[in-house]
Amino acid sequence: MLAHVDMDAFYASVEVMDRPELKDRPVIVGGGKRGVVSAASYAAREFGVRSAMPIFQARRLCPQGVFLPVRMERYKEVSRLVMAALAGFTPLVEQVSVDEAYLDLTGTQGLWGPPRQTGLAIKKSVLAQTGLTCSVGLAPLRFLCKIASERDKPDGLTVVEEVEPFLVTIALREVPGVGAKAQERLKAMGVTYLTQLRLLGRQRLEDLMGAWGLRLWDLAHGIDPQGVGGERGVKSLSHEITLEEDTADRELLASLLLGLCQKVCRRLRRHGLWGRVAVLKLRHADFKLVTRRTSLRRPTDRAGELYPVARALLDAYALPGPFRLIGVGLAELSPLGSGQDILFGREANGRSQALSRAEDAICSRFGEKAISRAGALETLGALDHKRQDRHNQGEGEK
Amino acid sequence: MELTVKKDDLAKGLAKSQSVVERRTSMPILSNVLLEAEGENITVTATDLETSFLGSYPARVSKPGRLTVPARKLYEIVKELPSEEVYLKEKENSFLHISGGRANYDLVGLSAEDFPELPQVDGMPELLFDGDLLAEMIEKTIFSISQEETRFNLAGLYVQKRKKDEGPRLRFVSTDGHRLSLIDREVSGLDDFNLEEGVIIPRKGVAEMRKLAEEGGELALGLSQNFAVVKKDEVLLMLRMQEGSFPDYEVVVPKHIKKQAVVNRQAFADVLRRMAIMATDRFQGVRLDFKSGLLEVVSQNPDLGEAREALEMDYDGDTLSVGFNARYFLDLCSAMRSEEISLGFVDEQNPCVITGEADTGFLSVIMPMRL
Repeated sequence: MLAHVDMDAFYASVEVMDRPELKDRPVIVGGGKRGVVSAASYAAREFGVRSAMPIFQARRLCPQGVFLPVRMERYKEVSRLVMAALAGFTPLVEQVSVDEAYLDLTGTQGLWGPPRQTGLAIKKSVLAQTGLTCSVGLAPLRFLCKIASERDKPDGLTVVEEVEPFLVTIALREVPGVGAKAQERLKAMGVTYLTQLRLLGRQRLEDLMGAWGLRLWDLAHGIDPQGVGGERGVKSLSHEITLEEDTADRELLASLLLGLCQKVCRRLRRHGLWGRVAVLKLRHADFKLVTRRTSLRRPTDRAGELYPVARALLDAYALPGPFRLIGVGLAELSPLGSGQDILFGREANGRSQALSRAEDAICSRFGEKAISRAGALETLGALDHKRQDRHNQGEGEK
Repeated sequence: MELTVKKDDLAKGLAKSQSVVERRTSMPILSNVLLEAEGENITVTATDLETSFLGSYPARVSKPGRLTVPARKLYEIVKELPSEEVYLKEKENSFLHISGGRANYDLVGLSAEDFPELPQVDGMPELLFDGDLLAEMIEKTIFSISQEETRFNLAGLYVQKRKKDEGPRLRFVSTDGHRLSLIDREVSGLDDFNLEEGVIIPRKGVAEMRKLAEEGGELALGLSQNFAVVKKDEVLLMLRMQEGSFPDYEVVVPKHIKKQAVVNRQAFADVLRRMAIMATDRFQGVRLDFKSGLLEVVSQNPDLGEAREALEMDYDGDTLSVGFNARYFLDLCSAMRSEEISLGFVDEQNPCVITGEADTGFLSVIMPMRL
């Protein structure tokens, strides 16, 4: 049995906990004068406010809302308590974001009892250690857990004992990764429920959506090979930045890109990993998201190698913009030093490695802002999202 | 244009142009072949601007002319015609009428005016090759040409003239940045050449050259700084050289081999194939453990488990354990001919040098992989 634990309106709930006078008021957490909503309390959601919605829109929907800036350090602090509580149930905890984690509960029945009892115990423990509620989904398959935890929010518990009866109740919009566009296309073919995909046939789905179509076909048949991994399961690592104002200025975007590359690579080095595929993410002013990816000659954990490739992807992107978000990441991660060695330029490689080590040493002593490449912009006073996509299948391949 | 040509001749020329024709192109005319009727010949031309194919075949020309038509369609039509002869006639608005037996086609064409003009390449010095020799030299180097389009200076075969004590040799070198193959051979006509700087023939052109060479027989290879031209019977291939400079490859070939192992090529390849089944998909990393008289190949996969197999080997150095991409050795084993191949090492971090007695003038270098 696997479980997905999702904190309820996490940022907003932390704010309410820290300032009890805000209880029952519509609290909206988001950044900058033009950023997006990072979290909305359930009171705010009644006005139609949703996360990822632009702040201006939220203000229009809910003028009486309490708008608060993102206090990431504080949320991380609480997040650590949540994860500590979860670690009490199984050593196999995979944190997927600051407020979400998967648990592999296989073999813990003797300790915690049947699934429902375990679910209740998890909720109780999280509440006791943090004062916050969460929603828990338990199921034999990873993707079902995620859907189950969404079913009964907030403060919910959904247990899926048998796959098939639950599978037929799943609407496509509930499946993580199926966006509005895909829903629309499939709806035109008469598909609104996941299991209806079975009628389309595997080949047709592949033709329609490529690898992601094959994955959907598997899901529709209750096949999900993804288990729960611990920290080792990191598949990609990225940073992105939402701009204060839309821009089409390629030089500005390039400077931001360099800063983002530095951050990605520093974090990779901290994890002792390197990555082989560079991913560039751009969101147009009209919210259309595009990703471009390319394989590197060999894996890297260095901004000096990631940046030119990411920059080339940016330069090759033909549409002029303007853009509201830019992000960069590395995927296909593996332990540092593994992989094919190169024939040419091995000496120069050693020098650049030494440079990165020095950069890391300075950062760990004086903080992230202490050193930077000339020309790099690390912030624009903008929202800076961190993402750690351990299982990013289908992402960006739409 | 109006003519009659043997179906087999035309089909042969069209078949050979298929791989040259650009499929995804921003210039639609490059998906077409140019047909030219003049004197007693029909010439079929296909080009992607880098690689060009020209095939001339005897024809009864009643009206000379030029026209282009979709290469793929024309080939499909001609090869299915029920007759021994094909009748071609240009009609109004660039249509091509094709008939054979009772089958009649009118195929949409484009004016020959828009077809790119091929460069004049007359008068360059030529090497006379035995097709088998050229095919062997290509076979032993083509597999390590880089597949990465962005590394254009590696995306081709480096061709160079080398002065040696025993006389000049023609050298082919290829590398993808992880491995390198090199072969030196004696070729007649090399004395007149001035190729010490070397030129890079793009991968696609090399593959076309190889097909021609594999047919056997004599062929002529003309080389200049900008073009390579291969002539064989009725066919002419014209290849535009790749720009960019080839890396200083000689520095990566280890000079002072300290440990040498000799292993049966076929047995080694069989073991590698068996062990690679368990290696991780993408890199096919296997570990080679060299012990006295024994080579052990080990493959470990966190998702699947592990596999190991040993084979006898002539080696008496210190124990050595090095990771490699099994694919690289497999490519090499299938390109080489020697019964026994020799693997030379400096240490576990430096590249391995592979040679074989029956593979004259050939050596390959493979960089280890850290597992």
